[in-house]
Amino acid sequence: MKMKKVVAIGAAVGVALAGLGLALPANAEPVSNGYVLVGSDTLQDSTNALINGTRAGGSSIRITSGGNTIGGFDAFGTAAIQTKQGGPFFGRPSGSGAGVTALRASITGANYSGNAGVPAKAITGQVDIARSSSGAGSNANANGLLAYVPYARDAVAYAYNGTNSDLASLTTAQLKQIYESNTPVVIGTTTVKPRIPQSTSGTRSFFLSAIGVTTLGSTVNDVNNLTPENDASILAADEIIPFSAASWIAQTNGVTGVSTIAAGSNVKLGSPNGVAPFTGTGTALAANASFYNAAPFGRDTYLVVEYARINPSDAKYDANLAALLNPDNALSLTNTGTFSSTAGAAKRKFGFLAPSSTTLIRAFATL
Amino acid sequence: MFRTKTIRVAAVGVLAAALVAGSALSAQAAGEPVATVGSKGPVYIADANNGDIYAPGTSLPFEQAVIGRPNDTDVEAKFPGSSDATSVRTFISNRGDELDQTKWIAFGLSDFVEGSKDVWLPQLQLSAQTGGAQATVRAGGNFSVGFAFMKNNQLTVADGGVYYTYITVAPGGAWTFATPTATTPEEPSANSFDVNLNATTMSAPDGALSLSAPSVTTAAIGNPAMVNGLSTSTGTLGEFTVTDERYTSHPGWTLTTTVTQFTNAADNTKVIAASQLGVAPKLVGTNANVTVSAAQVAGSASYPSLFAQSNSTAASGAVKLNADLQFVSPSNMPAGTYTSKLTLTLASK
Repeated sequence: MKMKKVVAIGAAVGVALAGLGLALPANAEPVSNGYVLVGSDTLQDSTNALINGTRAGGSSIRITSGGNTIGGFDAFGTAAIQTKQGGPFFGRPSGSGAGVTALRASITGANYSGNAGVPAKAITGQVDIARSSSGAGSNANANGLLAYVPYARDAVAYAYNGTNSDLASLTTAQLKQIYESNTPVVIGTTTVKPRIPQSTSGTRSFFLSAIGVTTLGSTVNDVNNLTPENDASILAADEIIPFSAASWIAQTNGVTGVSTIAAGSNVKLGSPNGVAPFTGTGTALAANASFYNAAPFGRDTYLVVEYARINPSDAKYDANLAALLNPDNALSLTNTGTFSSTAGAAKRKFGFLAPSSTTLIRAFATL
Repeated sequence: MFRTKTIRVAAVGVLAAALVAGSALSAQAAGEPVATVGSKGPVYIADANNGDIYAPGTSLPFEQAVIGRPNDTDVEAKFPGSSDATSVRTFISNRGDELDQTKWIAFGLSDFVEGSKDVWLPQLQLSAQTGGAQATVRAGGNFSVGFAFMKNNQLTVADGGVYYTYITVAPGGAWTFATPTATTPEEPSANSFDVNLNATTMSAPDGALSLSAPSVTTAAIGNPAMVNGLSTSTGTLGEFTVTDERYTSHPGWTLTTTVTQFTNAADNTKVIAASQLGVAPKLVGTNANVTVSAAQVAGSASYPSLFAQSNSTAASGAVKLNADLQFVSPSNMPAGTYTSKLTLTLASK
């Protein structure tokens, strides 16, 4: 997982330096036969599983819509993607914010560029759903043109590499101190070495907000802003890094394509304020509701669509898209069921719980 | 004596045994799914949300998220697979085409339970069968929906077999489904047909003079002959077909003959016992899995009698059958047309 991201970013930079912006790499991903999802890295493993087929929940399921399969595009990979037949190659949206921006451009027809290696161009109709691990925030608006449809409940904790329990259950205050300090912080006998994912990471921004940090201390190492998120393999001794609890559970349960959590390593998931993010052992981990549901580390995640397309009274209403986002439908992306043949059961294996609310949030009065 | 014989021959020459085919195969009621034929086992259509089995007759939207269950008692029950299976496919097909994946109309992929070859709660959602021509199904008609254990890169049905149930799709996509009413094997949907028999006779000549009858044809349909002084008519039943495509369960079948007594059309007090009709079953062509029974001899026939049967080694496929008929009129019965009904009943073993 992590290796892919590093390579991808390097490739994008290389293209820019070489001035080969028009010489796009061949598209390695097939185009979608139906709707297209882009955006958040945190949500992609679970949405990919649902639309490509999974038996994580017990029985084999695959979510389709309108008789067509659905295409999900990872946050990291080749610099450019082509999402639909005959559509343009455009910059890969890498993360929640980029995904929403691409969705907006897909609606308005404005030019979009996912990264410096790919020229901006019109991508009208090329994106249907944006994965977002963060909410609408200040963009929320009762008359908004986008709808943030609750997808699942996630939580952010931290991973650490340690041989003792010094870093096992840091408090919010300790985490704030570690990430703000300009001098090394010692917990017990351990001198903590903080790491942080690259700056577009939703996990990074959520974590820093949760612990109240606005300015990183000089001891925090982001390796020239190239540190991937949710990658346990990068941690050296005494290092810590924000980590999605859902991703940790999913990787441990073996339902992701790649697991960065090596068996027998000293890398573990910490228990912020003494509350473990998960229950269970082995490959049967489950989200711990008491951690996920509590502030400041729990968060709802979303799938973002154009509101008009799921509004039955609008001319743009698309019943298939609405059904795909209707949580009452056992095989919708937003389902949170527990029975084995529901999408919700599979999502739980990916470390997610039901969101705190199923009410959609409208945002962006203008696009 | 000679004159008598001549007269008798002339009289016998008028004898005619008319075989009139009666009703056709019983047909299913239009628009109503019927019990599944040929599935390896029962398939109950259930709600993917919670595993609850839908009530019979429930009309479901085309996009409804549904699953299959092997019984209506244990939601944990799996469909047992086979060791040679390498994949699982779901499908919608015309009825009768379930075992031939090249004939499936729409299809999708499913999977085993992790670590086994069994299948649990297969996703039978019609709209999720994204391969093939789903629009054909949505346009309406009678189909089967189910899944198959496959091998050879999804080309061949594995020993685990095919499970399905009948569905009826209304134009636009709303659909109903057959709910199993019994455990396997199911009876065939069309398991009997009738043949009306009309036998026209004249008074049998008395005495032994009939033995001198000239050589009128005796083998042609409807042509009578004098045999041992009795009017003896012969004919053939007519070729018919038993089709058994239960290639996986292949329990075998039996075909049974029953015959009602012959009644004089003009005087229903005049009856001739069914035992006067001889039936000699014949297999048209060859079929290693089917055996026909020995003939029932006119005059001493006993019904019901076994007409033919298949073994349980393998499904018989299409089997063409026929029978030679022989009707011997008792010498004391008046001339006239006599009617009867011969019924062949097909049953699963």
